[in-house]
Order: sequence, then C-alpha cells, then structure tokens
Amino acid sequence: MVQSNTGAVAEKSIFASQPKEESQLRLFWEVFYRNKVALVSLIVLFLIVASCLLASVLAPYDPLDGKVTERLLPLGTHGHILGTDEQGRDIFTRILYGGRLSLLAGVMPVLIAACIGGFLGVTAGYFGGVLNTVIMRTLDIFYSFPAVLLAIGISSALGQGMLNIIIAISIVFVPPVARIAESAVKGVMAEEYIEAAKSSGAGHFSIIWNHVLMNIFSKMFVYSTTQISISLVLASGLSFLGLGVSPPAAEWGIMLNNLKQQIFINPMVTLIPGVFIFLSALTMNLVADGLRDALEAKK
Amino acid sequence: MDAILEVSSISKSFPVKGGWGKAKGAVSAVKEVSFALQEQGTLGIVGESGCGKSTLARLLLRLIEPDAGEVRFRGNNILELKDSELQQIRQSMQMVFQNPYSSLNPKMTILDNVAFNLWVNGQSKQEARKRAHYYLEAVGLPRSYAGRYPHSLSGGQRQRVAIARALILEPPILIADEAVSALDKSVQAQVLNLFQDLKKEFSLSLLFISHDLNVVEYMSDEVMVMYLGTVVEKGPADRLYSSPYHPYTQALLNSAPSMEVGVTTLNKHTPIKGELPSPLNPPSGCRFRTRCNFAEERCAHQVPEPVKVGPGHEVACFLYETGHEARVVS
Amino acid sequence: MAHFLIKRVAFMVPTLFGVTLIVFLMLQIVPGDPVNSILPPDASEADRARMIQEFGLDKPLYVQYFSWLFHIVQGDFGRSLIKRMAVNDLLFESLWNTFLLSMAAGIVSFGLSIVIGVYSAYKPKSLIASLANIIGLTGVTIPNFWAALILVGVFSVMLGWLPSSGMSSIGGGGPGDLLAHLILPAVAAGMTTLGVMTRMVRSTVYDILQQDFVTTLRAKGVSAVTVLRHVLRNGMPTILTVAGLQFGYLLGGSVLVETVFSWPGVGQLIYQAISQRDFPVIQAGVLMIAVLFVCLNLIVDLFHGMIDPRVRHT
Repeated sequence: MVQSNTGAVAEKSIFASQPKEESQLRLFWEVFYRNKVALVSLIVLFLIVASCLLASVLAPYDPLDGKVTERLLPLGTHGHILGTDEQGRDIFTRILYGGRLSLLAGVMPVLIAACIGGFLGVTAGYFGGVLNTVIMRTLDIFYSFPAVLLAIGISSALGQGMLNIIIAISIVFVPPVARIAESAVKGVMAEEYIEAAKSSGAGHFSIIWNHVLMNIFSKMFVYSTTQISISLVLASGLSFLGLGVSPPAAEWGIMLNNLKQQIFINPMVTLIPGVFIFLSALTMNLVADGLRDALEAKK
Repeated sequence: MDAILEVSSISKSFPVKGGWGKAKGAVSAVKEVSFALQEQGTLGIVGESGCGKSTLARLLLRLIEPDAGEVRFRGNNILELKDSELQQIRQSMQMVFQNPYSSLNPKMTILDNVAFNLWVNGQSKQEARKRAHYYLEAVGLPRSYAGRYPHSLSGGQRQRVAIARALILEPPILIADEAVSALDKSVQAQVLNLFQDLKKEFSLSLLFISHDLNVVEYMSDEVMVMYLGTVVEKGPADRLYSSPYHPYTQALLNSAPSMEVGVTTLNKHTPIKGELPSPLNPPSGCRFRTRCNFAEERCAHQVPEPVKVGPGHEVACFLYETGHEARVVS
Repeated sequence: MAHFLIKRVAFMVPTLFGVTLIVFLMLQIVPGDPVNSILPPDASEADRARMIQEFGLDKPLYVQYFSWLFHIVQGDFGRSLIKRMAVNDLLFESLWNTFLLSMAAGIVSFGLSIVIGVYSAYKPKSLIASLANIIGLTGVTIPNFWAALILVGVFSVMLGWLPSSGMSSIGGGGPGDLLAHLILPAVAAGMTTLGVMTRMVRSTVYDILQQDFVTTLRAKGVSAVTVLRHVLRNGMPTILTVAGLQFGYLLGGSVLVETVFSWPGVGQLIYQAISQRDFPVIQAGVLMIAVLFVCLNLIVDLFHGMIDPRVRHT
C-alpha cells in the first residue's frame, strides 16, 4: 500500500538506527542529581520531615510536660540537647512535634491554592471573554493587598487555629496561581492542536483534560513549589502573632513567641525554633530551584 | 458527478476594537465566496497571504462562525445545525493544519494524538488506538513510531501524523490548509504524493489551500483564485493555468518561477503594481482595482459578478461582462 | 500615553471599591457578636439593644457598608471601641511611624543591594558575588521576625549596643536616640527586600554589561566611572520599578517586625486591635495600608508605562 515515492520506506531506513526514545522522566532526574546543592538540600529536608513525622518514636519526652524547676536550660544540657523552654519542657521534643503542624501549614495551602487557583485560571484562560474578565478582575482586587496583611486579616477574622491559618494562606495564594495558570492556558490555546481538537468534536472537558492540563503542568508545578517555603514562613509568622495554635500546644511559630520574652535570659535557646523554620524554608527553596532547573533542562 | 460540498456567498468580517472596547472598524476577511467541490475531486484554493483562504477553511469547519451564506454538504446546510448536531460536520470534513510544530500535542504520543479524535467520539481507547495504528501505517509511518513523542519527529513526519489524525474519523472531505508550506521542497514532494495516494485509497474529496502555484497546479482538478477575501477566478486547473482571464491571475501566474529551461519570467510582463491594500479598508467595488492595469471608473462603484468564460470556468471582472469577449492579456 | 494614564487611573476606582468591600466583609465573617466582646457579660438587654443601635448593627448589611464607606471617604474612621478615642488620632501617627520604618528599611536595603549587586555583576566570580548569592537566598527565605529576634539577641542582649524595643528611650531623646532605636528594626524589616533587590540588581546589571553598547564605550576608552553611569542609567527604570513594589511590601509586612520591637506603627496597632477585637481600628488600619498599596502600585505602573512603551499597549 505504501508507495516508495512517498518516501516512507526511505525514511524508515534512515531512522532505523535511531536510539530508543529517552524517557523525559529519566532526563529530569539526571539533571537534578548533578545539582549538588539541591541534592544536599533534599536530603536535609527529608531528614527534617521524616523526624517530625516520626516524632512519637524519636522524642524522648512528652511535648506538653514541663518542670518549672528546669526552665530555660541551655543547649547541650544532659538529657535536653536543645535545652528547655520557659515552662521547662524539652525543646527538642517540641520541635519534633511542632514541626508536623508547621510543615503541614507549609504544604497544604499550596495544594489547595493549586487546585482552586488552577481551576479558576484554566476556566478564565480557556473560555476567555466575559468570564475571563470577571474572574481575573475579581482576583486582581485581592492583589491590592500586601500578602502578609491579607493573611493576617483573614486569619484573625476566622479566629485562632492552624486550620484557619491554612485557609487564610490558601486564599492569599489563589490569585497568583490563577494568574500563572491563565497565562499558561492562553499560550496553549494559541496552538494548532487545540484547533484540531475542537474540530474533532471533542467537548470542552476532554480538550482541557487531554490537551490543556498536561501542557501547563510544568509551569504550575514550578511556581507552586516556590510557594511552599513562602507558606511555611508566613504560617509560622501568623502563628508567632498568636493566630495559630493555643498554648500549650507545640508549633514552631508559637514556640518562638513563647520564648521571645526569655531572650534576655537565654538568647540561644529562644532562637532554636527559628533555626528550624529557616532551615526548612531554605532547603525547600533550594530543592524547588533544582526542580525548576531540571524541568527546564530538557528543552 | 455531483458536488459533495457547495458553498454559497459565505462572508465573515472581524470587528476591530478601539481602546475602550468599542468597534473601530472591521476586517472583511471573506466576502461572498461561492464554490463547489466535486465528489472525489480536488479543488485548489490559491492566493497571497491575507487573501482569506485560511479563514475560509475555518468557516467551513465552523471553527469560526460565518456572518452569512450557506454551506451544503451533500445537500444539507451545515450552518443550520444546532450545537448538538455539529457531530455531522466532524464526520464530514477534517483539516490538516499548516504548522507541523504546533499542530500536535507535544505531551502526547503520536499514537494518542491520532487516536484522540476517535476516543472523544465514543470509541474505547483501545479500539481507537488500534485504528490509529492502521492510519499511521497508511501514511507511511513505521509501527515503532507509535510510542514516540512529536519532538523526536521531523516536520514531514509530523505532517503525516496530522494527516493520519484527520483521516481517522473517515471524513469524505479533507482540507489541507497550507499543509506542505512549512516543509522542505524534497519533503513536500513526498507528502504531496502521499495525499494523492490517500485520496485514491480512501476516495477523498480534497480541498487544497496554498499560496504556492506550482503545488496547486500539481494537485488540483479545479482551481479557485482568491484576492483580499473575494473570488476573482475559478475553473479547471489546466485551462486556468494555460489561459488565465483575470488580470490578477495572469499577474500571479506570470510571476511564478518557471520550471522550463531557458524561460525567464521577468521579461514576460510588468509586475503587479502597488501594495496589498489594508484589509481594514478594502477598495470599494472590485477589490483588485487599485493594482489593475485595466481599471475603469465603474470598477470602483460596482462589484463584478462572476461570468462564465468556458466550461466550468468563471471570472469576476468587467472586462468579460458578456462572457464572450476575447481574453485580455496583461 | 494619556490614554494609558486615564485608563489606569480609572481602573483604580473599582479596585478601591473592591478593597473596601473586602475589608468590610472580612470583619463580617468574624464569628461571635461584636457587641458581646464590648459589654460586660451581665449587661442588661436594654444596654445591648442600645449598643446595637448606636453602632448601627441592626441595619441590613449593605446599609452598614455604605454608611461606613460614606464616613471613610470623609476621613472619619469612627471611634476605637477600646481606647475611647477617634480612630484617626491613633491611625495617622502610627502610619507615620511605619512609614519611617519602611523608609529606613528601604534605604538600607536599596543602598546595600545596589552596591553589592553592581559589584557582583562586574565580578561574577568574586567573593562578593558569592556573598551576593547568599544574601539573595537568605533574604528571601529568612523569617523576618526570627531575624529580628537574632538582632535583638546579639546587639541588645549580648553586646548591649542598641535598644531592643520602642521608638525612643524613656524621657524622650534626640535624633540620635531615634536612630539607635531605628537601626535594628530597619535591618530586620529590610532583609527580604535586600535579598530580592540584590538578586535583581545583579541580574539586571549583568545583562546590561553584556550588551554591545558597553563594549563600544570601553573600546572608546571611556573611563570606568562613566561606563558605570551609563549602565546605571540604563538599569534604573527596571530597578526602580521593583524597588517601588518592594516598598509596598515593606509597608504591608511591617506587622511582624513591629511586634518584636514594639515599634508603634500601623502594624502593631492592627495587631493589638485584633487581640482586643477593636473592629473600627482593624478596619481602618487594614484599609489605609491597602489604599496606600494600591496608590503605590499605580505610581509604579505609570512610571513603568512612561519608560517602557510596550506596557502602554497591553
């Protein structure tokens, strides 16, 4: 059936010796491995996260138990490697347990915002027109608030608690995510394969699911990963202001708040929770950078 | 044979918005274009960039909605179909697009790029993939290519995939919108021959759009020449190329590089004068008059109607009003 | 250009409307009855009813919104529920204090970032350039309230050089005293800005240095200082645009630093009002900062449009 003057057979022989198609995933990991900084960061981050998840196994004490006679013991005290806080509770234990909430508050808002913001951005970008204007202009209004202020406003309105902090930060993150999604979708809509898909009779949902989403994924992924470290710092900041968990619960932000009065007595101990917030945010940032470089490398 | 597709007076203009969203003017992209595509024939549509040929293709598929006119597929006016009935258009005609680098989804395998058209129309993915294999083979791609991604294929190979994708819905009409323009000359020849073979094998009627005159001549039974959204001449390919009537057609053909040894085109005639007018403000009456050597007073006031000058051959020009004048050569 | 200007300013109106709406709505979702938090628990029904009427809480929501808006536009922010003074008095002094802090933070970070950024663009392999990298990364990731605590810990507690809180020493002090109180908060507040700006200055200047006109200038034998002047003039528009935006973030994000240093600014005012549930103050504070932010964005946009014609035609 295939005539030789269509060139098909000729092409076949030329390409017969071509190497097997490299999986895009493999290429991605190769580049990532070569980035030493990102790799080390990933390991450190993994250690922090794993320790917090295994808090009940690793922690030597009860996070809520404290002997007032043993308050504010310095670093390296026997039995209390990171010292004790103003109520005599072991800081190392509270760091492990508290980390769960802090890290959760770093990740959850990003996931929630990615879903909601992604949905809004895709809808606005795909359908265009009035819908686009309405969605994007409404989101623009939220952009008029500095992020920290908006987060404070919303979480204080909702009341205390880590859940409310998560909700507040999610809301703050939705507009930028939606913007990224909308602009990425607009880029995709200009491609001819979308026209081809429309002329095949595919419904909107099929086109979005099969053609749009996969082509905006890497942009969204890169942006969302950079948001995680911001979310972590923001959440602990809100918690530091007292908008998070109530005492005596453990969480990095509130620990910093509790301890800040004691800075005149034992400055080193008071700074420990911050070290962990900083370290987590730093490693997340470096890993996110590494991921972005790796994703862009294959082009 | 009967016409499988009849288009009557189809028009489309795009409003241009000013700063505050108010209409500032309109681009008349297609104006009262009529033609017929014969069963299992090939109609070539030729013209400069901006003459409206790509818009026309999209109007037929209803990717863009026409402002006026009729499009009859085997007698049924497809412009009247409700959204739910648009399926009928999908099954009746498909298009192969110009840019091989943006007409395939880079995140899907080429098998899925082709199979997609079928599984969104009700088939199971498995069935769709099986059929996709069949069509990939039909366009000359080895089976081993099925799991590859578009970025590892050459332009010519991608166009083959695009053709397979268009064919999988088994449309009787295939529209090729500048389908080979982005390819190297050597690859062009292969793809054009592929079109011919597929046309015979699947009994297709082909609408072949291009700005390249030689390509159109090679492929078409009948040819339609467009200028700034209007049809200036149409007729059987051999007649149109050997004795063009419309001044624009003549100028166009005369400026095409000749394949004959020893023949230079430069001293055959004077080139078309002037620049292509802005589509925002097309010339009144006959749109070619601003560049025509034979323009008269009335060309600005009246739009010339198509006049028959031979079997199946029509021209829209006042030079041939009664249809019996001798051919004027520019 | 005029067209762009008008359009951009016109957009501000619905934006500001939206901002007021959000601020208003934000406080409507607060669970619990605002009246309950003001009155003692044993207050009589009559007292409650009177209070509700006094604050107009019995009227439908949109009436409350518009009457609030009406007062706001005239500059009347109502009375604080807790402090029994007009909100205006509280607000404008603290706005000024925050502005002072932000300016100081801005100047410090802006100045430092230009110096470090330009140097590392010129000498990408130097120690300073590595320092720039670290600053860039640290500034962006460090929690500024923690940085504030570190600064206090080091400079106030351990070294005793600088005061740890407040805006002035007890009994008042001159400009030197103010400066001493200002340094630590300004550095803490400016860390993020320093990080962002250093990265940005460095990459902008680096890109400019690659351009042909710089090579031409050098080939002509022009002095290095002159070259620098040209480079800076070229890069200033972008840098200033980002600096303007960063200033907005400084204004808005001051809450955390102000809390650590007990700096009497708007941030602290809002924070205290939150814990005391002093709604008129919260509303006024958040609103003022948001309005300032919108105006600042407008100025930055107009400036951007002035220097980069492409922006005018989006």
